[in-house]
Amino acid sequence: MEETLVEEANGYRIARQPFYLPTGDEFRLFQAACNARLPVMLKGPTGCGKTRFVEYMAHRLNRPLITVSCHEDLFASDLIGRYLLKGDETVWVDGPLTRAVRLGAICYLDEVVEARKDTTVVIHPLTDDRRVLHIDRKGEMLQAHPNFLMVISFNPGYQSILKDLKQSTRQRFVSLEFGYPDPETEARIVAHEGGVDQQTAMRLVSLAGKIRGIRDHGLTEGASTRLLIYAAKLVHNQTPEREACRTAISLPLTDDRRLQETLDDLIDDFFAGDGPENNNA
Amino acid sequence: MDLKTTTPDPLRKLDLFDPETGEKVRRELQADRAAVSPQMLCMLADETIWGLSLEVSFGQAIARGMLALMRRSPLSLDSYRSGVRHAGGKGPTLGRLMANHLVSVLLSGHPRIRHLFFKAFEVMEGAGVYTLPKPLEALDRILYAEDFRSAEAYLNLLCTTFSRKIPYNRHQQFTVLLSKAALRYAPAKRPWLLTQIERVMRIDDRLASALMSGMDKGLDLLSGAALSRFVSLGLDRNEPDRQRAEKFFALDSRAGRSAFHELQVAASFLQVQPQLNRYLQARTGQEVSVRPLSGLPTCAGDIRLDDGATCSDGKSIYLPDEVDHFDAQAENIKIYKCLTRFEAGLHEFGTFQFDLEKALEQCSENPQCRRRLNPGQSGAGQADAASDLERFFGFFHDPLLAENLYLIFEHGRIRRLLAQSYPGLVSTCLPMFQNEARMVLAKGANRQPLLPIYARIACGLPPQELQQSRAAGMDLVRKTAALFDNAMQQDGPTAETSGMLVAESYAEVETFLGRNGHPAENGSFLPLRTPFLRCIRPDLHRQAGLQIEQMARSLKKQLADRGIHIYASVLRDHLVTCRGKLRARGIEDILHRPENYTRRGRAGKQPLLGESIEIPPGELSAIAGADFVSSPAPRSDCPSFWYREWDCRLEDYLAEYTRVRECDVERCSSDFYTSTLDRYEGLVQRIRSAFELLKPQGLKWYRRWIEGDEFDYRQLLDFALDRRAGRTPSERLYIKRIKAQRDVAVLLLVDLSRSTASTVAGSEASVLDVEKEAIVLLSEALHVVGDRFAIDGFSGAGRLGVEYFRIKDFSDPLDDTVRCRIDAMSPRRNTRMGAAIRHAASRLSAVPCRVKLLILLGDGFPNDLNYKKTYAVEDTRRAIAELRAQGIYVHAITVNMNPENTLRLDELFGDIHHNLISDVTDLPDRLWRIYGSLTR
Repeated sequence: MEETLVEEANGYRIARQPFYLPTGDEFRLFQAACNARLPVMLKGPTGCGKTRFVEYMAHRLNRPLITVSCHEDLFASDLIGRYLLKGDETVWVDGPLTRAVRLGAICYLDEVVEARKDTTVVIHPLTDDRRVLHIDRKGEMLQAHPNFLMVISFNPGYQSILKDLKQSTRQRFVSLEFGYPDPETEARIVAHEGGVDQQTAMRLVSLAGKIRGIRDHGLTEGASTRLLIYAAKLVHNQTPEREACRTAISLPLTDDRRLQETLDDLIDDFFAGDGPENNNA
Repeated sequence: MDLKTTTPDPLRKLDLFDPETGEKVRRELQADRAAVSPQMLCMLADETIWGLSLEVSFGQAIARGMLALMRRSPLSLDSYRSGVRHAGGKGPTLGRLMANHLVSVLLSGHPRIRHLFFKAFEVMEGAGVYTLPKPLEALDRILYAEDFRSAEAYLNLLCTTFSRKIPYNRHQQFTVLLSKAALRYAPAKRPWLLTQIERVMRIDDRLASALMSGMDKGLDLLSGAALSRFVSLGLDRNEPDRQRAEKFFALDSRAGRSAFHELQVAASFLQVQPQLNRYLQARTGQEVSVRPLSGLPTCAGDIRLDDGATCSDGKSIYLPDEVDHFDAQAENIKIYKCLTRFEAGLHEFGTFQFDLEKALEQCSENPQCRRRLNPGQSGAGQADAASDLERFFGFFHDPLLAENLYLIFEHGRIRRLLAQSYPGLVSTCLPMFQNEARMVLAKGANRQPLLPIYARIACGLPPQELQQSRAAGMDLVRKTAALFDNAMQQDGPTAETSGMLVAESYAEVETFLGRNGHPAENGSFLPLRTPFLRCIRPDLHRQAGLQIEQMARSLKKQLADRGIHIYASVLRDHLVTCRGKLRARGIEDILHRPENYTRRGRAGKQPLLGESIEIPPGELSAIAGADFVSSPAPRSDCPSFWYREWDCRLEDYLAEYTRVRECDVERCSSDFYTSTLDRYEGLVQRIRSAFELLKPQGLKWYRRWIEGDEFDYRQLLDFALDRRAGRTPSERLYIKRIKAQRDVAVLLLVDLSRSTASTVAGSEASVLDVEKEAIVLLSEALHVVGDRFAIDGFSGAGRLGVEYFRIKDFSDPLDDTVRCRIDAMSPRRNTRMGAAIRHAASRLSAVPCRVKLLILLGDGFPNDLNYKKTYAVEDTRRAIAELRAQGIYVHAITVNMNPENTLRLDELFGDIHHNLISDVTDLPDRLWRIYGSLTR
């Protein structure tokens, strides 16, 4: 039994170390929370590296990682597990949460606000000092493995109050705040992930800085690091820079034609056309 | 002149005839020193007396006219006399008009204009004397502006127009239309615009008025050739169908508009303004906007506007009203874009943050500069009025030369910094400036001694090219450029670096100019005219930031009195950032940064990191002066809320501009609510049953699902049975439970303006009464369906007096209090819609519902004090756009309005986002239906 568990756990380990550059004290804080068995909430805008951070930490701490992307149709049974019919019998199948609790894995609920409110309630007994999971259907009370760690991510950028986390959920987590990295770090990330030179990466980052500063135009969130990496990847694959930025940054960000025009103007400022560069500087 | 020597005095008889006029003439003559012969005076006296004998004002007009001609064109006096005599013979009114307007014609000295004038005068006289005054006044203004080509075209147009046999009222219309049009058009384009109107007028006067209205819509932006082509196209249409041609000329038809766009070459400011503003905001992150040069404060113009100078006052970038430099419109638009991009650099890289003290400190570190700067000069003298830059230029022998040098170095510095930060921008825009510089150089660099230096440093033209153009003073160019390149090697060159470069290079440039016949002493030094006339105007910057500047200086002085020496530019920046509202925290932040201290300050008192300098709040307000006072305190009994407002003329928000006060509705008790329900009993029943259908049934069960929360035991049984019987069982064995709910919050915002008091045709009820009935019915419906809803009303007068009435909150039950409040809603004052919508949004955003809806119930367009027409519509549109960005649906229902307004309402609310119910009595039956279909 023990061996099967170990084997199963190994299936969830991250094989290669993911690329991650720290932007602050997040390694130490996460490690401390982990040692103290405190659930962790990662806050930050979309595409700033929350998921990558969890993967990196799972690798660094050598823990299995089970990720669930939350959506509004996610039910408690999707997390805990359910009976299925196999042959003439009904067979219980663990959901990802139950599996993580048994294996002592990190259970990462990505974009937890997307899940239904009644679903998030099942994690409550797991995220206080009881650390137990009730499996109603089986009448089982499962004590969490000592290594089990609950991590959720949450994007406070959502304007809707409806998609805010309830206080009873919020107050069960220690919280790490993520923002976009500082320009130099972000440029290194873009250069590494997107396979472009440092100078191009820096220009992409400066462009993103401008876009993130836009107010009042109906842009709810600025260009994420992820989008910058996409643009860089396109450039790496021989797409002209301006074209790449349009495809990966301005078009995904907005459907508003006038806003796109402004974004394209900014792109033009950073990336030259085909004309000869004659600045004599 | 001395009248005593002339005997007998020719003016004596005038004195006898009309002492007052005689006195006036003498006074005029004495003020003037021109030689006036006795014959002339005699003629003046005789003609004036003749005129006075017919009508006093006629005589006076003759005297004025002759005096003006005596001074400037004595030879034309005879023509004047005969012209006036001829007209005066037909009556004093005609005579006076001739006497008044012939002067400018004769002063022009153009025989052709004279000939045309007499011809036009005769024609117009034939059409009726009433046609003469307005058009001739306009002619005077054109002639005094010495625009003779326009005058000729205008006179031709007048001849053609008034020789047409058209009814009196059409003629009357044209007297106004033509004179206004002639004065409105840009002088450079006026001749051909008027010529084309005349061309059309010859064929049909209605077409000509259509063409003039087309010009108001932008046809006047076309070049001469393009307009002529456009008119030909329009006239071709006239043959088969005059109405088509009319629409074509007035740009009311698609064909007209597309022909116009194809032919358009010039780009106008209004065309590009919104895009440029969005760009500026995105790029600089500051509140910088573009404005047309015609909007420049008048006192600030020593540069002629039609030169198209581009400049900035630190808050706005002023661009030409129109650009027709190239033959293609796209290229002209590009000029606007490039100018904006480069000028934004001045804002971004701190040109206007020039600090005199820093500059002088830098200069004093450089022995060369120290020697050349003359601290005894006027710079220190103009302390109070002048800005730092102006004071800096005052240190030099010729401030204008210093200013020009600063322009060169500063534009060079900005170019270098832009190239580092925005390589794309520089590679797109710089070639345009370079080409322009090449063209100006080719036209004759020797007339502009500083241009080669500008071309080298600011435009980055390679030296070889300058040599080819044989520009004078290549040595100087090389030396100055080397100086510049050297200074730019430093880390982060600032505006003060440019100042230092001015000090370093000034003497040499001045010597060069003196040696080459461009002496600076007598003001004959020809100032630099840069490509596209970009310039830096410290005077404008001073005017725009006067208040901040004064506050910064007083703050600096107050701090200096406490032994703390901070750069004025740091304080200025801080004041700009905090919009003039000082906070103790902000000052502390400044004091904790060592780089903010002047050299003197660095040597003196400075807090250590972490140590705080205590400035009591009372003292802080003393430091900041009167401007520390915040906005006026609102009345304490009504909560107030401040909102911004969109100013479409500025293309920008006015921050905290409107005040919305939440007021109570007067309480009353009546049975309005129940009586309405009784009156509409049948309808209420229908509404209730219709909304019952919208009501969700709690949790919904979905059976026979492939996966789910529970087994569906009936299916499970079937499954087992099927297997036993050897049939293939169905896999649909589960039940899925989904909680269905209508997660809707709706706010009904009712316009309580005065106009809702008007009575509905065929009844005694007012528009608002009917609206209230509709509200009652909707409330019933919403109560049935269970959606959260609120009802508010708004009105008020002026931007500080927007009243907002909370009739029913989202949490209020639909009880008697609410019912009374609905009844108590009464017509009040105006409609400042934007502010009310913004306040409603803040109420809606606090409700945790997935779908939020604002229904705006009104009876007209927004309208308030200083809140009319386009301004009001644009602000309302903006407010609605803000709501949509927040995910709030806005739907408007307008009652009691003519259906012709649909298009304007479409523009205001968006065509699928509003209903127009012209007969308000339909509202009670329509409102709930509209709501039902919106939330189905």
